[in-house]
Amino acid sequence: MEVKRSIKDNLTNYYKAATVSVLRESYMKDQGVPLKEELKTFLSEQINQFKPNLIIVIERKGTAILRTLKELPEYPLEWEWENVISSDSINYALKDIFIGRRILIFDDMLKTGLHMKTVIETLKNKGEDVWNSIKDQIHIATFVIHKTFEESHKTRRPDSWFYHYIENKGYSELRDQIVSMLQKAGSLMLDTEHIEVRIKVNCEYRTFFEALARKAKVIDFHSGANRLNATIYYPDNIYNKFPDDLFPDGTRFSDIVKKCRVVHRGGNQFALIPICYPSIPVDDKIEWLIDSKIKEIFGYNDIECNHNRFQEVGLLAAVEVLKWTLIDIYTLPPEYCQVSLPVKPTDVKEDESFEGFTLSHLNVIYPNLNIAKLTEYINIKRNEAYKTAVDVRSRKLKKGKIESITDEDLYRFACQVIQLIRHKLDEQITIRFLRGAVEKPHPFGLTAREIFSLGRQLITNSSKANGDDIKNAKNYDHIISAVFDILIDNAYLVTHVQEIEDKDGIKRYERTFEPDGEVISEKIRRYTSLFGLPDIQ
Amino acid sequence: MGDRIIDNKMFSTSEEAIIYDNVNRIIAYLLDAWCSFTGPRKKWYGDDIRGALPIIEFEKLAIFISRIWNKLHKIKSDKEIGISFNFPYEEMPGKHGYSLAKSNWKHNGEPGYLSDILIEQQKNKLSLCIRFDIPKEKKDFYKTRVSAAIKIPREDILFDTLNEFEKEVLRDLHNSIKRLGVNQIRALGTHDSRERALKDVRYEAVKWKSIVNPVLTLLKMQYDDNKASLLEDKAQEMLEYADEAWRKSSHNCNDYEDAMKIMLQEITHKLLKDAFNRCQKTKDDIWKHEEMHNLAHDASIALAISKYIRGISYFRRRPEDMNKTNRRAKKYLYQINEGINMLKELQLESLPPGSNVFESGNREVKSEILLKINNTVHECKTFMRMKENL
Repeated sequence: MEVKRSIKDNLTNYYKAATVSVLRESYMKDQGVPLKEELKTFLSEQINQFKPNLIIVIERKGTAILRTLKELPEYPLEWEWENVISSDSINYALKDIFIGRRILIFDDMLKTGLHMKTVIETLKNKGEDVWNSIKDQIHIATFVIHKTFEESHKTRRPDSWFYHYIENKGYSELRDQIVSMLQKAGSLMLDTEHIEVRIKVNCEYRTFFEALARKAKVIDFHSGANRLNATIYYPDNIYNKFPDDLFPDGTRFSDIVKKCRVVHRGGNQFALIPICYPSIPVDDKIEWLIDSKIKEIFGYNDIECNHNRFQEVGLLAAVEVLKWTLIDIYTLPPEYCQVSLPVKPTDVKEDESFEGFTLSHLNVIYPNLNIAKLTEYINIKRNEAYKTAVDVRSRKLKKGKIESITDEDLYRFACQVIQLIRHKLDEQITIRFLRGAVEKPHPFGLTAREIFSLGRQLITNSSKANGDDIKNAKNYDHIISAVFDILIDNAYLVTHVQEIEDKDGIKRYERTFEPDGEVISEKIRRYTSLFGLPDIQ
Repeated sequence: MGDRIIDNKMFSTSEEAIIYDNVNRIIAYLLDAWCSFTGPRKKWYGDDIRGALPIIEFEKLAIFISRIWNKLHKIKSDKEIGISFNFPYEEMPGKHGYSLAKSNWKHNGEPGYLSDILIEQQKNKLSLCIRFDIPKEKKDFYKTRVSAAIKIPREDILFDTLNEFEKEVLRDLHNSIKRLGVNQIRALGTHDSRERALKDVRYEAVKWKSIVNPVLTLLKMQYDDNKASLLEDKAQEMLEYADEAWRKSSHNCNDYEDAMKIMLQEITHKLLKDAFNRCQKTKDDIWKHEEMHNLAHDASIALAISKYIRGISYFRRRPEDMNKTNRRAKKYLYQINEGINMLKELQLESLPPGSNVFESGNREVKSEILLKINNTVHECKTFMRMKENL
């Protein structure tokens, strides 16, 4: 039974591992050890002591932290992506992944315990056979525990931690430090749920971006860690079409996220992160994936596993977006850029000079994904892109324009957008309570369509205030799209998949976006109460 | 009054504490102007209310003040020669339209409305500015009256941290707000733009639509005491939603226009007038619109049929009252007749008076009446097409 204890009691009475962790906290703080070292030490020690076979990372920062630690230039954390699964994907993974395993659940920060509770419940729901084989072999490691959680005793307490009994101010500061570390590593922008292609740019960056802007709208900006990023936004038009036969009937491609993030990886290397989440009907009787090769990619031969159709459709759509981006890159003279595609996991060489990379990180979100087959598929698409580019390269191509907007203006706009998102969600939550709800809905975010609409209203209003009359605010959607990236890079926004009824009464799966947790939400609300909401009427 | 009492739940810095306290003082100051005014103003359903505002109108007064103040803050934000702070509340939907609130105020994430927060402060002796006189019975909460807690002393004590610009603005508001009638305050607080008005009416329409079927089902069911009591409650709720929709889609527009005239006539401060004009659109801007006309038409039908149903739900439970002349019986007979007359004006199928609604010898509603009621409800075509997820 849990009882309320003082910090001193905690230090002396909890298990050894936990005690050691807490004692180290004061030692390391005094020494001024960087947070990423603290995180690495903490996680390495949990791995060494508990010896797990599988790590469950709590979305979203948990996964990004693991990625940062795995990609440290010196002494990276050694742990294979194959043995990691995201908390959001437990439902879709085969039982075999869990049965009899020693499971380490890693959460970066714990305040309400809601996420942890959901993870435990989801594991229980995998079936008695799974739960009985793992229930005594689960170790929960949380880097920071808020005082609220310590005092609530609502759910199972973590077995080890690094910081605990942390109050709001310290909690917020630690969160900021984690976010700053992730920004420096680019982990939030790189994410683990997306495909990645790397590219070395040997020409001027402007020339590179202008090539990308041929059929897209490009906006470049600096991330919180002064890292150069760009958002390549593909508007809804005749050029940016998806093959009809690849997606379930009723898939909607308009008013969705449809872009390629370009993230600086250091030197002249960039990562291309294509992202696309079409809205799809919930009805899972609608057949799709007629192509047997694609069926193999998602492991559809295995009849036992559940499939996250929304994510799978998203991955296929992202490959199409990647193709559009590659076409524009291949129109440049070959010496300007050098594209590196991912390699199959079996082709990785233990040689230090090996510079290749795999997409194994995708197994965290797609536990049944056949990485080798996906890599082959990306290669096919690359070849198609190359062929198209060679065909058009001989023509005189128009360069695209890059939006000239300062980082300062972009960040100010992002701040207004997140204020409006929080306000709109609070308004909707209030209506739910007025209609009789007793608890806040979760997950509960706005769709891309709703956020684009808010952004357009903001743009229209601010242009009116400046004496301009914008006829079609949709022409500025690329700015709004970049705002999504800025907010994600700053860990202000998290994503969900929600079932939402459209205006025709059809239930659809949609990507939704919500301010990241109560700490951030309270920050936004406080800002709004002090400075007011931006005008949108 | 000069002492500042801090409610630690509200803020994290002393600067924020002073903002919240100033907001309480501003509301109290302007509320007192209204409460202590002895000059002429429009009556409230025949009553000349003085001394305290009903709670719903108090919330509307607060939202109106906040809207103007925040707009001025946007126009001229300055610590010395402009507005130095924002009203730290957001406009959130409430039982009676939008009110000032703090989101995520309660442990389960529910918002805290301004009145809830001030009442909590009053209970904890943390607010000396505003006084709530709350009836003992919970169901009578809406009868709560709100007044300034004490006589406002010299302004320099009350507003020791405000600058001259802010004091000038408040004096001008003090002089103009006091001349508004209760309904005019309600109209100004409720409405400011077409978008908001449309949203408000749609919201009430959805609530009305969602209760129509339960009411019709209860009306059709064989009589029993419990169901009859439930029907009365639901019919009352249905009537309240229809009434709100009707007010917001048409009825409020005259009070709004009168209130606008009074304010524009009385406000002398140039920037305040500018802020007022930017915040409060004209009557035509808000109501002269096709969708609003359609909604207003449906709201009238909804109100008529809701009045009728509310009336017959009373007599279904108490048939012995049908021929009585007591106050309540009269009230519900009047409500039935009002519903019938409104439907006539709208040139819709006529409905019979209360005495002809029930089968002879029992309390069941005649089937042909049920059919007529059903048809009338479905005349609210725009309302019935409304979707839950607005």
